[in-house]
Amino acid sequence: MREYIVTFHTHLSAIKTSKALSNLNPIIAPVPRKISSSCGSCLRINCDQLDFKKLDRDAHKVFLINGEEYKLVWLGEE
Amino acid sequence: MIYVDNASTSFPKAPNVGDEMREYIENIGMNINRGLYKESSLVAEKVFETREQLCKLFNLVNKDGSLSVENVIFTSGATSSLNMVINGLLKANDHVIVSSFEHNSVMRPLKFLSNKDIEYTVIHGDVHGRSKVSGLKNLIRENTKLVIINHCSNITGMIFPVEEIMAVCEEFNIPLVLDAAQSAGHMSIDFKRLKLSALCLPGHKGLLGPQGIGALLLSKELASKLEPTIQGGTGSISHSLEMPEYMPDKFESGTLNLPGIYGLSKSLEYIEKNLLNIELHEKKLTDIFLKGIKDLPFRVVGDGKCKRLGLVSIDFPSKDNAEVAHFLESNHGILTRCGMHCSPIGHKTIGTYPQGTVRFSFGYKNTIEEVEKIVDILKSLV
Repeated sequence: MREYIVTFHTHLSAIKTSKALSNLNPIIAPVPRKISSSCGSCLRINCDQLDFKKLDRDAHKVFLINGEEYKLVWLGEE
Repeated sequence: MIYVDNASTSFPKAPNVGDEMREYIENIGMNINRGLYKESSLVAEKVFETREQLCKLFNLVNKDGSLSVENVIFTSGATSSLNMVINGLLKANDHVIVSSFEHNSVMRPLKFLSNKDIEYTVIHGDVHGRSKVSGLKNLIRENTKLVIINHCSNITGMIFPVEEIMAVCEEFNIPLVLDAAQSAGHMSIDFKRLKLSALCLPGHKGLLGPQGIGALLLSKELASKLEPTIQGGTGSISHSLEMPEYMPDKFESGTLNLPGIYGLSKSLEYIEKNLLNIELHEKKLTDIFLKGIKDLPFRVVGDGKCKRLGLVSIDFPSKDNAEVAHFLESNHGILTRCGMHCSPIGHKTIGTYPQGTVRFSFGYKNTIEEVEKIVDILKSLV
């Protein structure tokens, strides 16, 4: 099981993605300072493999949590 | 008591609106877009779903057919929505066209702006409440930036023929703004079909929600042109002193009226299921009322042949309209609204300025028996 953090350009996008991925029980949370983002909210998702195609178009970045490190694994439109 | 002042605010509200608001205040209570935890995300989902409800009800969709949720802005009501468009778009030397039945929610901001070199022109309306829309092209100038139309007159109940002007607005690329204060929740309104740029909605009238909540639905194009008239915290890009450019944060500074949104969401559920029945019921009541008073020596304002909604205004000759309204209330418990209805321009158009009229506005809970009783009492006034 992996833990992902998804950041967004807008709050609305976070809510849209949360609804689209509701089967994964995403948790809305503040964005860790190391990552930062244009919107203050992120989704924390635990799953084996996140399907990036299901992210909203205003999703910004996806990080894989590795200990205290955040590894960028997907980048949306800037 | 017979409440026929639904054009002021609807009563009663849709079932369970109060319960929904109470549930939010007493058992949920979290803010959105600020502290981020599970409970707040549930509130955020409710707000999101209410945006979706509004998109579906008014057909606010993107070009690909998806709901345009980001272009739903929650406001305190139609007045606030209209002010956001007027003050957010117009600059010195701009020009606006309005109908001759605008409410003061449009006319007062425009009057204020007329001192700042912003001009407005009124589409001619006759004493029967009909607007001369065929002449719209002649009113358009190079600097015309908006056309604002009161969809349903809050004096005559007549529907403005929006279909007849939308093509002209499109041809000249002028945003068409519809004030649906008296029509939303009483009839179907299709944002896309009417080629609107903005739809201004109160939650507390025909939508049967609580006071203090409303919405502004925008086209993507107008949203990009409008400047926010209120700036402040949005819970997003908080490190910046600039307002976010993205929607809806651009126009939603400060904490939203969340109890109001919970109540509105509940009332929209009711409207979604019952809109057609409401329209038919209110039309039936209006027809009975108009037929009942047809031969009485009062002036019923507006053209009876035009499409109209469930509100009727009467000017009582040789009587003071305020005295009539007071008589109806004190002797028979009939609650109406007399006076100017915040639309002196409309009353001037139909020739009922300054005496105003007594307005009877029916709602989904009024009954045929109530309407017949009012007719009988009006007959006794003769």
